Amino acid sequence: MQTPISGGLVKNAGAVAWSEVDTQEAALIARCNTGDEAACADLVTIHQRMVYSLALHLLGDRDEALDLSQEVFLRVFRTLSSFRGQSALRTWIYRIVINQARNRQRWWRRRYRSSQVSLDDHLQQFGDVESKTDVLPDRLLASKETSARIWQALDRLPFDQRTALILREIDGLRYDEIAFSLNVAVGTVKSRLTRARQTLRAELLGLRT
Amino acid sequence: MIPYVGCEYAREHLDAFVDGELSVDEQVAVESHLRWCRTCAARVEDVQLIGTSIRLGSLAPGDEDAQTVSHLQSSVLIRVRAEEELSLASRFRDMFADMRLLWPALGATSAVTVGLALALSVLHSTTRERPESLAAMIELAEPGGDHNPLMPGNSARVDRLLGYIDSDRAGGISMPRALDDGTGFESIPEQDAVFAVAAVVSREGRIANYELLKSERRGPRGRNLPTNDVEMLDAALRQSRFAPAQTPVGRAVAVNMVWLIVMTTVQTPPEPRAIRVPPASTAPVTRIPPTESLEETPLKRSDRLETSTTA
Repeated sequence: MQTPISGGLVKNAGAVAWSEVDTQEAALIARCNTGDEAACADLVTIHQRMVYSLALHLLGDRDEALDLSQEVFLRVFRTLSSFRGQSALRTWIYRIVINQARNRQRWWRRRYRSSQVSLDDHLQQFGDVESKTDVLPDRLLASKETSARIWQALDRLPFDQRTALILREIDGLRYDEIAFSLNVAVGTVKSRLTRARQTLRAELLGLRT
Repeated sequence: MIPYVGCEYAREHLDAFVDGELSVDEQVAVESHLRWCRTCAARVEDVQLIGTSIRLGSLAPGDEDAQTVSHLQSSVLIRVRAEEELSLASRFRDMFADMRLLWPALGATSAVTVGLALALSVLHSTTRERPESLAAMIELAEPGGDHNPLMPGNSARVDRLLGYIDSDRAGGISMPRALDDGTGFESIPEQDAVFAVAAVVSREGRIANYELLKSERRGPRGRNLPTNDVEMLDAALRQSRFAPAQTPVGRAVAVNMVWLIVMTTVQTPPEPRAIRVPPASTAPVTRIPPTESLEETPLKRSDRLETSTTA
């Protein structure tokens, strides 16, 4: 007999409190708002790798990612005075990265749809394809070929599903942080992750056959 | 006691289980299910494999990227400084960042502009200066206005309540009354003269326009009116002030009138002739004392202003 267990997954993204911002971070934000250039430099230094990495994963192009990163920090400094500590500063910056990437993705896909990287190019970039004889017959191990296939399928996913999965798997964000970054409810994050993984799992099943 | 959960429940929570987002109770329940359900356990392995594959193929910034990223700070700060210098332009650009707002704003601005232009054109077309405008037509049609003067007397009548002119109602229009005694005409040379002027006395009591109907002058200069006299007459007419004609309800109206200006000279009668009485024989001759000097007294000039209405 099944015992129903009440789940507590659905949380409001806006429920994250001011306590998300620690004292040191709050002081840094205050200094930036007064126009302290050294504080602005510190803020960029702390978050630049994270911003560039996420931009790179969302856009898949280093030059575009670098350009987007600059735009993100400019946006951060323009709107930092409106930051009220409703989340960690990192999560707030994630949201800006995602919004900027979403806008750029639409334009990028319209313009360069025909010149997207092929699977062969991707495999060449990540190394040789392992022989299928090295793979267990019924289960696949995490190989470069599998990874390439998964990434190819990931690129075909809708932007919001792809972003949710990248934030979860690469950046390791919690569901509530992903929800804030995407400006959606936690339940929506969960459903997007589930749909994204179902699609990728279908790709895995295709590899096994 | 570990609760039992079936595959349906477990599959709903597999992603959260892998991500560590379940509560302790849920985590334990799903984990116990996975111990005996190979299908769900395989699903979990797939989810974990997907995560591993994503991390394996991620474009993690390398050494080359580290150098690129290190330049990010300086380039961002340079742009921040430049933007502060051009903050106004930057704010203006931000206004157009969201194009969804631009088009409604442009549409609203256009609508307001068109509306203002229409309103101004309507106002312009109704000014009194334009003869075809409604205001000018109302002005023309208004009885008693400067463009539509009345005739004084009882022929034109006025509604006492509403103030409009109606010939079928009782009442009359008073005559305009001259406010000066003809001093304006003293500049005209002292000659007997008669001028007949058809004029309109406006609501303000001025001569709006006039026409010299007739002029007669006696004296050595003959009947023709010299040019100089015409100018002086014109100046005198322009300086003339009247108490405007009024309706019975006290409303000032413009009226037509004929103004008869007569300048006459009053002379004393001729010198009486002395009567010589023949002397009586006995009576002493008496001399009638001479009358007082009957030298011609200086001419006293009087101007008489008369008005009459036009037919």
